[in-house]
Amino acid sequence: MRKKKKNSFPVKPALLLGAAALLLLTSTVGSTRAALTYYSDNYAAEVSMSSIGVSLLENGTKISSRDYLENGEWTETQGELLTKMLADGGKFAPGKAYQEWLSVENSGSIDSYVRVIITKSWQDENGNKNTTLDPNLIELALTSNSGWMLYEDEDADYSDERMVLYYTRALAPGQETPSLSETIRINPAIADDVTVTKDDDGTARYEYKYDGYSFCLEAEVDAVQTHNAVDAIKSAWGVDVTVTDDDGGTITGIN
Amino acid sequence: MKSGRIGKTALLAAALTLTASLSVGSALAYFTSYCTAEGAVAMNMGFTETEIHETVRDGKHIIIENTGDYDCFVRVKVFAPNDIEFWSETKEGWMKHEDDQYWYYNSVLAPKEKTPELLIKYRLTDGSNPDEFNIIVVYETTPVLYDENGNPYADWDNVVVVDESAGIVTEPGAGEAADTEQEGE
Repeated sequence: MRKKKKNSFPVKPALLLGAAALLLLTSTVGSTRAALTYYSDNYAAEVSMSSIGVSLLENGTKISSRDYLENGEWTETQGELLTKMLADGGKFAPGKAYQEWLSVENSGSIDSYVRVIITKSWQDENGNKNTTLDPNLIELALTSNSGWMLYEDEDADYSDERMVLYYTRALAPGQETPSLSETIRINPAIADDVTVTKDDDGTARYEYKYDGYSFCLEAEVDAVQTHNAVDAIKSAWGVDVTVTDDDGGTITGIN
Repeated sequence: MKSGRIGKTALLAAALTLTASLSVGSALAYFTSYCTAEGAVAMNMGFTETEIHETVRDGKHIIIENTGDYDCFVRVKVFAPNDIEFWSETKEGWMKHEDDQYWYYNSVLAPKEKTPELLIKYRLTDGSNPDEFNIIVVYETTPVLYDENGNPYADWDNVVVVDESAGIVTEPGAGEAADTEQEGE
């Protein structure tokens, strides 16, 4: 008797595959529905007409910016700091305080909160960072009572070279913050670090430890929407803030 | 059984991917922007080299020349036997400080520049004219420092302290090199 040929169609895997496809399909629909539910009419209108933008200014001159357009693209400029610190042919003088007004402008079309991350470091002639030299000798004098709040991260081991400043007030489109800094100078104690070498004939040669190095100042400006500020700031910057309930929405605490 | 496991694994992976993609979509809902800038300024610090130019003609005519690459301040001191008195009638650029008996050049001496002449005159206190005597001139230089307003100043008390064993100067207050030369007559 001939043995009946067994049906080879894999029923079980087929069912699983169908279930998976169905799940994926319904998940996608669910996601879309959730998005549609979440975005109210007002919010949808804001999406279509609003764009965020931010600019960094040094001594009143726009240095860098990134402004988003309505279609999601953006325009940006990238400049350089400290280029006008010295007059033509002038020499940098350790100890002298040079004007360094850093501020931020809201160059977008929606209100935003902004923060600035300042990083100070020393570089050798090739532009390589030297971590053995002291960033504390680079003194950026901050302004007081200007609306900027210095966030002190006690756990951070890089606090000597990095500081984060939050502008506590919401910044309206076109508005510029007060300067967060007044001057920059190199502490004259830099002249205390001297090395001496002796030639074969016994002549001593003195050299400053920092000679040939460059002090470097970096500024990163971050902006985030004021709508749903606490969650937006947490999401974008990773910090918890407390914001007042009034219209201005002032940041009163950072953790 | 084996194909069943693969199917479940595939389902689990699909679900995880879907969940992860939904989270990313949520984070991107916030408007954010950023921009950056940086700049650097090179330090140009060093100890310069100097030379003294001295001639004797109705007194000692002293000129200090900065032959190095960096600015400096200059001062001069004169030593003579007790029976010889000396003075300077130079008005331009030099000023004597009575507290330490140094003549100070008033300005920063830039590289490749010379001070105006400092003329030291001398005579015996009793008016006689000895056949031979010695007058020693010592001069010192120090790097230019700046205050907060950018005004240059000299710190003559800041003297280099050399640790011979390490060959490194690290003592507080170190950082000055004083070139010293002596000339006699």
